[in-house]
Amino acid sequence: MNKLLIVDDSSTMRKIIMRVLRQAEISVDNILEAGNGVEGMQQLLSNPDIALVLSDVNMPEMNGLDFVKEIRKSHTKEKLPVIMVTTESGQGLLANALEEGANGYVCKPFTPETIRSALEPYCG
Amino acid sequence: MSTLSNNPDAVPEQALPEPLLGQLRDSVQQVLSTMVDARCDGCEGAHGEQLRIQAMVDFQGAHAGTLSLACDDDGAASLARGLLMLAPEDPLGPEEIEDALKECANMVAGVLKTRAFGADGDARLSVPRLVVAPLASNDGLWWRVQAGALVVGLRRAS
Ligand SMILES: [Mg+2]
Repeated sequence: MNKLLIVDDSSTMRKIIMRVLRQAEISVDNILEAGNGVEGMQQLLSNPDIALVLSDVNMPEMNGLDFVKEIRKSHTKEKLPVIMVTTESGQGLLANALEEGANGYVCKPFTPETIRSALEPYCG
Repeated sequence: MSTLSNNPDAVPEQALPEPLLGQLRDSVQQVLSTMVDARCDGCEGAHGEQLRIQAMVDFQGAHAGTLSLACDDDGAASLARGLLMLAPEDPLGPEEIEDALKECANMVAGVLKTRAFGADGDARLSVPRLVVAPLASNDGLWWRVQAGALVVGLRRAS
């Protein structure tokens, strides 16, 4: 995979996800980071070759639900998959995320295997 | 300044009903065992620890309250190293420690929300925040993280 974008207001969580990707031997040329949905949109504008987005839900400035809604104004689910990585495991919220255009979700806390199986369909 | 002391309606942890206390314990344990690569053992409350770093997450809605996760310096560093899977010799800055504590509180609050209030219960979580101030009271559930201390409490708005 070319470029992957991790959006989370926690730098700890972004580092954990990067480590899990390395451990899972998911090969990514470049991992980009953003601390909220606004920064995430900026990354997408400057890097049109981003192939997959992992996004937190609970973030300041622009939360993950608004972020995925914003992404879907210009990118289809097929063109740019978005996986939510969230502490909010309410079925209503997760259904909402899928409705807004997320391709899937992973709940925190997660094991490396959970991340791997969520990403596998998008990582060839 | 501690938000706990900003909240005159808060009640101490001992007043939590046993199901909620158990759910809090299980939530912390789930986060520690899944995400933290460090030795973590539940223990009796101790005294004399300098618990001066606290991460807090507010529950808003029908189950309003504040979850707090407090550590002494050793506990905070051990928790951060465990989350980030760092070796003892790897560098670790204060900002990384603070962010790790906040994310840990965030995960515990998320798990507790589902366990205690149901997957779609009326509880919204705030973005976590950090308070650097001595813990007003050592009440709460205690863990040893490596050689450090971790105390997790929940105060409910009345
Ligand atoms: Mg977040």
